[in-house]
Amino acid sequence: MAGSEVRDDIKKIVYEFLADECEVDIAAITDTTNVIDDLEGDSLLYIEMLQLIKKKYTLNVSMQAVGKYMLQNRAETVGKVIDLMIYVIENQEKLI
Amino acid sequence: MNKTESVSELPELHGVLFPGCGVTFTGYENAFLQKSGYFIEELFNRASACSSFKKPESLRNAGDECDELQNQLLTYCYSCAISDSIRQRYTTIPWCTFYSMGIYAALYHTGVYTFESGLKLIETAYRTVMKAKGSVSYALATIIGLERTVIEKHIVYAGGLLDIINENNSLSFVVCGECTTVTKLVQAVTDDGAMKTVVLPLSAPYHAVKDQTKLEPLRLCCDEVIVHVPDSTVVSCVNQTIMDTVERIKNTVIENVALPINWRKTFEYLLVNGGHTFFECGPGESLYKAGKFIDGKFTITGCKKYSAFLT
Repeated sequence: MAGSEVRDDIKKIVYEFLADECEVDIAAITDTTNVIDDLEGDSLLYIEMLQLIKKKYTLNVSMQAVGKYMLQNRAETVGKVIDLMIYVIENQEKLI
Repeated sequence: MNKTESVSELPELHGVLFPGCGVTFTGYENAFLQKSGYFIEELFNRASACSSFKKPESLRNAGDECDELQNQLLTYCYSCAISDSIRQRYTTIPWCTFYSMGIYAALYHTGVYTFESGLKLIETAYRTVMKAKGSVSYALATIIGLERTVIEKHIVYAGGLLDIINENNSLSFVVCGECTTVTKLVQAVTDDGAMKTVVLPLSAPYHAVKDQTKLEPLRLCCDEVIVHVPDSTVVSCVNQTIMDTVERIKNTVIENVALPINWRKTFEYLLVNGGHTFFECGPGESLYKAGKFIDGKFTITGCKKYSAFLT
């Protein structure tokens, strides 16, 4: 799958997931939407999204590695979440 | 209400799950009860008349600001009220289990004792545990996003009095120990990649009472109030056995206060034995959230989603 296709795929997953979990209209979500402040989400959502991505792309990465990466690279907006997911797919266990 | 007419319109339920104390109320608990035509104020009055329970100033903010024991009593009241509403709608729901202090509402739900007896057990358990802990200050914390082995390594390193007292799922654990040691552990696991840590507003060292002889007052209270066997199958969250005799129920009440529990194993036991549609019978949605990281095909419906069926 080409890079742009992966991004489109991840964007679709993230948008649909957040709209469903946070019970908001998908049209109201943009890349600048803040997951915690605007969608009233919590850190469980990040874990759920990561589990979804791990299953879909059969990734070899621990939640601990992602958690450590996120200490330095916070993903507060939807756009940043998408970037995070792509970085995880590309680097897997080597992301830290 | 006509049970036969209503059952066909409602979702099938294989099991009822009772949450523990310290949950966050969603606000849908009151909506559910109102749609059910249930007046929880009457239950509050009964609770106030026989225990130290204080009625919340308003239903809207119920659970927001109250101490540990009050929160536990309030959670019990709501769980019993929701149980009453659900039992009106179903002839039988075969399975029942509980998370931690949800045991008291689960025993009410299954007809083991009266509402008032449950309040008495809760107060006795709380006061007995607080006395048993002596002068040690305890804290409980939830750690999310790390595997058990990683947390265990940090526990060894932190030293002191510290135990994993519950496994919610493969990525969520509850620890209990001396305040300073818990604080140290929380910082260490955060630095090591835990996605979320929450120090719980609790100080009673439930599931971590080393000396069970100190629980004698609770044992005596159990002897007084537990006289019936459950009218459905109740699974212990301590050891995943079925509480089918009065003696087993009494032992489980003691064990549930003294020993670690395992929610993941308990829920998996229900899944293996035929349950896959569950109702979270109490305030909040903590069990729905814990279930998100347990493998299997199942649904957990709480007050929020179930309210849609009540028109």
